[in-house]
Amino acid sequence: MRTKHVGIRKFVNEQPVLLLFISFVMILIFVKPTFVSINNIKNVLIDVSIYGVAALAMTIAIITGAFDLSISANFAWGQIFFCFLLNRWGETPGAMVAALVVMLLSCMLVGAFNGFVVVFLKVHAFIATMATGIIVKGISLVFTGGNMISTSNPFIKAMGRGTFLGLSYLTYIFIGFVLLAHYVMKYTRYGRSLYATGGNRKVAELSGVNVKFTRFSIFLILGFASGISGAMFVCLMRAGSVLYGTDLALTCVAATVVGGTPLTGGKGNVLRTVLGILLIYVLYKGLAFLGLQGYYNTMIRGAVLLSVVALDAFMTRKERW
Amino acid sequence: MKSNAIVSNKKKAVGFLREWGLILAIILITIVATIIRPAFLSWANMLNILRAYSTIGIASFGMAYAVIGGGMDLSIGSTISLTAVVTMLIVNGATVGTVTPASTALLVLLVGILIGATIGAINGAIIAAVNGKLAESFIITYAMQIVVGAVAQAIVKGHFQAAQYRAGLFKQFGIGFTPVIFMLTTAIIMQYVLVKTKYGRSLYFLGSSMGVAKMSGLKVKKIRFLTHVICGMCAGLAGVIVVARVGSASVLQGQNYELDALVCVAIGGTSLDGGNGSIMRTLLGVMVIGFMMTALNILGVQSNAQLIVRGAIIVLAVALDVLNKSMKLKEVAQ
Amino acid sequence: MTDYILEMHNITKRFPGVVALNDVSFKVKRGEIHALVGENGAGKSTLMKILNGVYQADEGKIVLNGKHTIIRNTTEAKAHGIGLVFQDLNLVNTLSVAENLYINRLAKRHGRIAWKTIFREAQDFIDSLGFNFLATEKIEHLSAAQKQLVEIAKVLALENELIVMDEPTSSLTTTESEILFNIIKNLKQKGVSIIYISHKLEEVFSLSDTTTIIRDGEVIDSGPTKTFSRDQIVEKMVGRSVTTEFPRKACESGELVLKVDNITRKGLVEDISFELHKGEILGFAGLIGSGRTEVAEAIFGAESYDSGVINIRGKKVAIHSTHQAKQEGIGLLTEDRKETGLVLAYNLIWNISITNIDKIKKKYFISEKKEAQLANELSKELNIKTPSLKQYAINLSGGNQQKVVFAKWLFSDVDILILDEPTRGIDVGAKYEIYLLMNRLAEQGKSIILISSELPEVIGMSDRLIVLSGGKKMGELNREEATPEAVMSLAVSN
Repeated sequence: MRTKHVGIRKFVNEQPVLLLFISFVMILIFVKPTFVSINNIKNVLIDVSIYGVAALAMTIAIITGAFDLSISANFAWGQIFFCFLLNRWGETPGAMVAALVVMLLSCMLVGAFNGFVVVFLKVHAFIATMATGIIVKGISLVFTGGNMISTSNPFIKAMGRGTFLGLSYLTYIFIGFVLLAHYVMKYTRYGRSLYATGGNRKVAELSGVNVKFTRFSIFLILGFASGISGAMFVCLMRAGSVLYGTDLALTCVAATVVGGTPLTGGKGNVLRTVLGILLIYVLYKGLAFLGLQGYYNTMIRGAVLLSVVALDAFMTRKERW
Repeated sequence: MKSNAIVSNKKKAVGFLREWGLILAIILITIVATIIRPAFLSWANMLNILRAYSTIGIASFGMAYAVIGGGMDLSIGSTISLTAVVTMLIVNGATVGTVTPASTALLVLLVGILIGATIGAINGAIIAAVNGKLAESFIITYAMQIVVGAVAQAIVKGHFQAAQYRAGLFKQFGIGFTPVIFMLTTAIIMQYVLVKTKYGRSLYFLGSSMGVAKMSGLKVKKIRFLTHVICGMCAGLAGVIVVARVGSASVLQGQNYELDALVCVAIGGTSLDGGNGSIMRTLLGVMVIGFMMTALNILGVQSNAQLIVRGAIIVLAVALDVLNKSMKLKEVAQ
Repeated sequence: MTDYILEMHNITKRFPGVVALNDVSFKVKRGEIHALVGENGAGKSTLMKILNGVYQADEGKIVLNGKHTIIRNTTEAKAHGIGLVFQDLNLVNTLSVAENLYINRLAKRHGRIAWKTIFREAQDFIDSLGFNFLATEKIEHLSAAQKQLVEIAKVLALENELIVMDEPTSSLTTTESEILFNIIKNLKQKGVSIIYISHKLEEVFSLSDTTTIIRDGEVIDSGPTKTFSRDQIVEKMVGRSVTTEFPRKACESGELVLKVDNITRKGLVEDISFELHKGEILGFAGLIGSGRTEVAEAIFGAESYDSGVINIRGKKVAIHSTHQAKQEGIGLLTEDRKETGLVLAYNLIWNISITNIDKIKKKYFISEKKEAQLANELSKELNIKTPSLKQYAINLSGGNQQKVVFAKWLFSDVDILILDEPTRGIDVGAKYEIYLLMNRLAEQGKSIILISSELPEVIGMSDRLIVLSGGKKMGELNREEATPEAVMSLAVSN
């Protein structure tokens, strides 16, 4: 009886999505060996770093049994507001830090609104966060008149362009957040209470976990993370717009599911999501590299998400209908 | 005792608002808008509003089916875009001089509905096969939205399509009363199906409790599949009419339609948890939104800001529904 | 310091229509193992739920360690040092054993959770109990028995002075049970008091110092276990004269309607075979979790079965869905009428007609007039008490709700009815009406499978009885053979 489940069979049984992805990427590399170039790797890593921060938060949310569709809009708002504040407050370090903090607070405010509506008004997380996303998008559109806001802040430019040991600064920021998220989820009571809440809310409550606080806090984390992703995106693009990152929420869900964290909550971990988002962006970049540009690429992105979620649902559903 | 009276007053107020709130809202909006701009209360303006919201209406009815059945379909926006560009290509292709042949008009109607049905069938097949919960319906149809949108893009390479016709039956689809008639006919048929057929009744049961539906021997998968097909068909029809109405097609034609449909459904008093609602009330919801958005236009509120209003309406409508339900439960507990 | 760690004085608890506990007094000595026995529904669980703060007693008081204590909720019960091992598991499936043991009080070192220490301590603890699994294993990978052991370990880890165990061995094998008995004996050595609820009288005799027997919400007897014989206990448990209150008349059964051969659902039921005749009521007896519902689900097509053959009216059928089962003439009244029986937010007409919409169609469309008329006929026939059939199901009493569920299936004109706990949670009068209804249906030629945990009911109403235990058929008894003692001894024999 005292066996630990290991081995390839278990992996195939439990992680069909991940397996599918890995084989897909392997085939891609096999077909087009030139794809593996320093430049491509760097580009993929930068994308992964930017969207990865939001994906970490989404994974934590899904583990807790929550969900947030508004991060796309919040991400765009973060970029816009950050650029706006940077332009307005000038280029001193103090002003830049202030701009970042104020922007993050505004994003967390959106999260707090989500948390309030979901946890206290008891509205379904999907509907609530979708509606919030619309409101935030509307605010961004009113704020910018639909235009792009750019910034010529030299420090931002340096952050986006600069490298250390061949890797972009953004990648180090991402790694920092990965370690932080992993530490919190694994080595703090708060992290474990997230797992317990997602696994079985009733049992968690009976065991003394403050479930309401836990769930509310998740939306703050999501708001914060979308703000950070937004700021990193600004570093790369030196601009913010409502049009950037509209599929962020779904990419993050896909990364989570590909990494092997099921949508049902209670299990999974953030390190897997790193693998998930890495695979997704390798795939996206690989498709582009094969010549699938623009809408064909979009089509496949949608199809990938569709099949990932459907497959995951299919594998986890046991009862008959 | 006193608190009881308050509760019952609150209950009465909520009940009254649920019954008459929509009509009250339409009257209020009309009064306010007319005071500011007397032209609001004119026959021409009323017809304009109805015409402008006819396609949103048709799409909303499909969405209402999906929501009543305990699901949701976020792919209708792209379905409308795709149908719109395909319709335009066919119509332009068949137009001789400035006149579109009547047969083409009927053909695109059929093609549009078929396209919608196909997309709906894909949604429905996946969701039924995996027995998708609300969360998965959400993501699956949202992903479908991305895929279908990209297909629409690929078909016209992203280019805007202008009408090359000036006359013909197809043009008639979009002018005068015709779009309104399309909307009302769809509403009446769908309402009738909902309350008068086995499918309609089963849909309510499915939406309120999958467990009861299954244990009563209903064909759960078939109903779910069919519902998404119908929802897609509505979107397809809306896509055809919208082209006839505005005389052009682009890949952005259906943008935000899923959102507007959801707003109309929610305002119409259909609980987003499924299991209740009606097409007639959704129609009233469409009119409230139509009147309100037009009034906002008159008041000079830009379309971007209107987006905020729409989002807020969803939160409000759903929160009120949750409140109303918890009050009902308390009532029973007492 | 008194001798008694727990005294429950004159506890009375009423539910609408039923007195669940009537003036019950129950005392547990320090360091004793006190067995609490009685049939399902006798009131044991209600008593323990009052102790745990789930329910509040209408009358009576609880004295803990000589102090009058009011327990308002489960958290307070925990704070007073009462540990409970319940049948339904309170575990987070996605987390490890260790996390479930120490949830919310995980040990920290230098501000971070010290996993190594936790896993080591948890493993030591598990080993010291003699359990055979890893502390790092996820709950979902454990067997049902192991989960039960974790639940036990979780309570033991709290080091309470008073532990309630409700059927702790119901999913354990003999060896695992032996381990548990050793633990219980060790706990007793340490002065811990244990309230032990079990149907298995062998366990009661080998473990307990004192036994209290409850029947119909009253304490029938209480005293040192060694003063009772097994037969005495069974007699006191079952007590009343079983035959009179059940209106079932023996009758000749007709032709074979349903024949089930070797139905198997892996891990749930194994090789169940039986026959059902026209006009017959076939009882499924057994303890909760013995596999009765699982067999019913398979026949009704609600869940798939791995092997076995179902014959309906001499024709072999493979049932793939509930819809198909309905077409074949099988209906299932589920045990949970609120979740899967009725839509509480819909009116009675809708709830009744849903199983057979075709019947109320005029040409292609539903005729509300016909629907109301047919529903009304059924409602009169079943004596459903409601001001109007437009009433929402939620506003009806349990008994009337259950009659609506009956009406719903009668509406479908099926001729094989599977009744899963048809009288659960309804008052005596309504119960009797349902028994009469079952009689009438059988007379009309319907065949009924009656699943019930209430021994007198299933014995009194059935023409033939199948007894299940641990997913296996333990025996088949006819009306003459089916004494409570005989059924009970089969039900606890696996």
